[in-house]
Amino acid sequence: MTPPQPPKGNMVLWDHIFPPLLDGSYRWRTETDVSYQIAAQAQGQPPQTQAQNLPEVQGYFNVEGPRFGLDASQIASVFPPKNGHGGFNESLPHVAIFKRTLPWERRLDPQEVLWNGEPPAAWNDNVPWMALLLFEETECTIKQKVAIGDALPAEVVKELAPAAGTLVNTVSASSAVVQSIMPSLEELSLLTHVRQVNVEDRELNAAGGDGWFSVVMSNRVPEEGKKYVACLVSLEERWDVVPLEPPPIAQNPFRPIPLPVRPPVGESKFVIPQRNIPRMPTSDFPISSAIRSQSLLQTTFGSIVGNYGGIEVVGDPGRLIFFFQNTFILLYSWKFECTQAGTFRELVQGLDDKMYGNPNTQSKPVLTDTGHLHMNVADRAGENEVTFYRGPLVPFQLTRDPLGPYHSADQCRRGSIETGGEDISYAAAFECGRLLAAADGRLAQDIMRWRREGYKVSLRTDSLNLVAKTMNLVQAADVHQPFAPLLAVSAIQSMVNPSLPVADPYQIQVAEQAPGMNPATLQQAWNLSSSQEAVAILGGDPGTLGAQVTAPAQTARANTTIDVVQKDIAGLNRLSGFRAQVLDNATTTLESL
Amino acid sequence: MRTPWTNNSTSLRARMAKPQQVEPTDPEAGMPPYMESFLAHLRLLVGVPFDYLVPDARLLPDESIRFFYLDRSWTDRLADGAIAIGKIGSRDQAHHQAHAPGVNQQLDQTERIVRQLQIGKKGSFAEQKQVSDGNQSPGDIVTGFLLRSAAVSGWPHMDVRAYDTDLPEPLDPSDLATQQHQLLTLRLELLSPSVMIALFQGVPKLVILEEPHHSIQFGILDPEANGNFSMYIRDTTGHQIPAPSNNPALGWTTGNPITIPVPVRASNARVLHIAGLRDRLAAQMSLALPDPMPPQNGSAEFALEVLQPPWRQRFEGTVDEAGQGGGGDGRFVGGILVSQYVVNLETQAAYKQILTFGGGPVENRAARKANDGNQ
Repeated sequence: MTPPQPPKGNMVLWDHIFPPLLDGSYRWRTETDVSYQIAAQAQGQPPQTQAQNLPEVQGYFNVEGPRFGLDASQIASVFPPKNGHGGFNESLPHVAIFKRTLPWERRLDPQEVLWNGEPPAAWNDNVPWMALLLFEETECTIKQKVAIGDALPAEVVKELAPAAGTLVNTVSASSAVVQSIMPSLEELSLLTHVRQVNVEDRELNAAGGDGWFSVVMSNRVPEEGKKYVACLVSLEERWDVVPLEPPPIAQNPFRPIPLPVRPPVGESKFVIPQRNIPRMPTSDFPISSAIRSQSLLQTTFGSIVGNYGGIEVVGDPGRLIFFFQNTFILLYSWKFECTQAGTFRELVQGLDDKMYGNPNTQSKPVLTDTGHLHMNVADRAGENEVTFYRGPLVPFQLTRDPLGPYHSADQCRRGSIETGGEDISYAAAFECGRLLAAADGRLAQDIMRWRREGYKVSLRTDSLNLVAKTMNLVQAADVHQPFAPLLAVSAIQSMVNPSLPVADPYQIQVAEQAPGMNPATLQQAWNLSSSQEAVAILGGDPGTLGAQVTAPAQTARANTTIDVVQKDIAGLNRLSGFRAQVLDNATTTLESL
Repeated sequence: MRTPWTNNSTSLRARMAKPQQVEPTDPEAGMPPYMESFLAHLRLLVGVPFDYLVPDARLLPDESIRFFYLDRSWTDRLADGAIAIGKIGSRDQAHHQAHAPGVNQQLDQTERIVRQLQIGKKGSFAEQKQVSDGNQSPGDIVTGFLLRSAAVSGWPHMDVRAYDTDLPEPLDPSDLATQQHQLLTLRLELLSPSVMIALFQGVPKLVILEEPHHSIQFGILDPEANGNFSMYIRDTTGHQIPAPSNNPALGWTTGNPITIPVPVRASNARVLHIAGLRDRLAAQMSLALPDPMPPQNGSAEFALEVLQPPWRQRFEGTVDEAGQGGGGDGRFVGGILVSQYVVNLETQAAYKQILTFGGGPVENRAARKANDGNQ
């Protein structure tokens, strides 16, 4: 469960965030425990319980994370800034990493060698496997892509058990320097923590992060006028160089002890735990054999002569100068220079703050007081002319153009009222938008879909309106509702509640109301002597007009059976004849079409 | 043979008589999500080449900050241009013409969620849109700044906030009353490693840049006359603790923040003795302090003590803060500037004459050149 984001402008600090699993290889195993009861077979017999388990399954997986190097994309920020120049002499360098669990994903001392079998202190879990060491530029040597076996002590490589051919970047420094700056175990845990910040008001970035950062601090304060390399190094299995107890506090801070950078042989006082570590031989120093085996010694000063318990002996056998050094896997490094000014505060205080359109006073571009820039363009006739352009950023508030939308860039061209020159600002905006849209295939599709949907609906509306008008629908047609049910309902309703009587399908009774068809009206109009005369004129058949028609009485039939019908050969023949005639008619009609 | 109910020409006529094709209230009139999102991003100049924003590099010199208003007409044209894609006939034009007000209004609302979409942590476009559609207030003035500085590249993820009133320090951004004055940040992004653009909704009276919180420095005070490193002690919220009384032995002066000396290693005077410092901090717990210090039982508490609060740079409206840094004469002052030439009747008349009697484009150009020469 992730804690909620801290309120705006606030930050929450955490001692550590442990990963659920440390990096490494794991085995998982699944088994089931299922049993069921069988009902008693016979009276008096107890019910039986039977187990039915699935076969056991197991597998292996690795939890992997950065180990021999850290990608730059994992680094959220570094302080002092990379290649920065500034007065950093009052602050401790640090590096913020996007992954909040990273410093605790491995163990510095998984076998607890440093405790010599004693139960470790409670804070042992907190010890990160990385440290930020700050070297002066001249104190350390960084090598790129070295085979891990060549760079680190054999003991460490054995424990790390890297894949064959693993290449690492390394940093080497004299062991006296390393000893003087290497934090002790407890200090390592104090120098590493997790920060959770509010991300609402920050600029976006390719890897914006979720507001969680692990932060590794250095314990060395830069000194003014010096160049530094900050090195985030891996300390996995490096219990040979990390002291259990911190070195003594300076008793007299008024007189700092001068630091011997390259002490001669035998002066190293590195604190090394006694167990399992090959000590440097004191009497039988095998220089001569080393010289023969390593020809590179003949050319350069400072080559590795031997390696004893994490301390590499480097030297020039010809001049008999030797010193000790330590090499670490370099996860990430950056350089900076500590000068007088250049902190965030100094930078933002020194900003030249103006409204946009206030150019540099020294080399001023030609700018009108409306913020337009003179721009040389070739017009469509190929002739050069000076036009005016102003970007979307203006130094004063402008009213929004209400005459939208525009359909072409030409429509957006304006004559500038101040000078009579042409203003291409909005035409440029139009073209810019068009080009950006054209570069996006999905947008073009979506715009076409937008239009097509509109056209489709309007087409449908037209059709529906026409159908509704023709079919005398009982309900208004809605373009967004399915039309077929509406049509069906209308049809059924007009059958149930017919607007005309079924007995008069040809609307004779309506026609009868027409003045020319009504005998009484006709008699009056033509001044006839009697209505009978009018009836005669209109055809005289009382069945056609006016008179009520009585239905003929049904023929009474005796009850008949299937057998009787079957025996009526004449009747069946007549029916067959009708059927043949209907088929003939249909065939003729179809052929004539 | 039956005649069809409708045919192409009548249906086309019917639809041309109704250029919007569909009522703006119909669901089909709404833009597809991708189109709406794209245009809303475009409204905030996302993806617009830098040269369009700053046509001349001298407009944004090194180590400068430039405040601006956003020309909404410019961004409207940008959206018009994008919609012009695939417009092949008068019908498409009529459709756009009829729906433009609705599209504009919708984009005015949708542009407010662009930043949330860019951050990408707060749900899908549809969910976000529900929020933004709840707020139907019309498009406001958009302002912002461009910042080109080594501070942008060296201190990534700095905090930027804008307020509509000039709030005095101490300013707590998490305070509700303060947040009511905060302007909505529409966009805050790097255009290049050292150039940052910010857009706000509304006219700010106060803009603050804050040192990024995750890279707050650990500060100690450099050796002074006595050659000792020293540092402030801080309470559980990271504030300095004022001394409650005068105590020369402890170096206390009433009201002044308490400092303690920082131990260094014997082997290297520039390397802090972290364990010793932690012990010394823990020893302070026994003193009667007005604000309690956090108990020293982990790296977070230790970090809290050595943290240096982030620097907050204020850019304020009309209040002149000369002497407190910043400088320059272009502090952000809201207001409307009317060009002198627009109200100049002579210029207007001359312009009209060119338009009416100037004849062909050649004369036009000549007139323009003459005018340019006069400038």
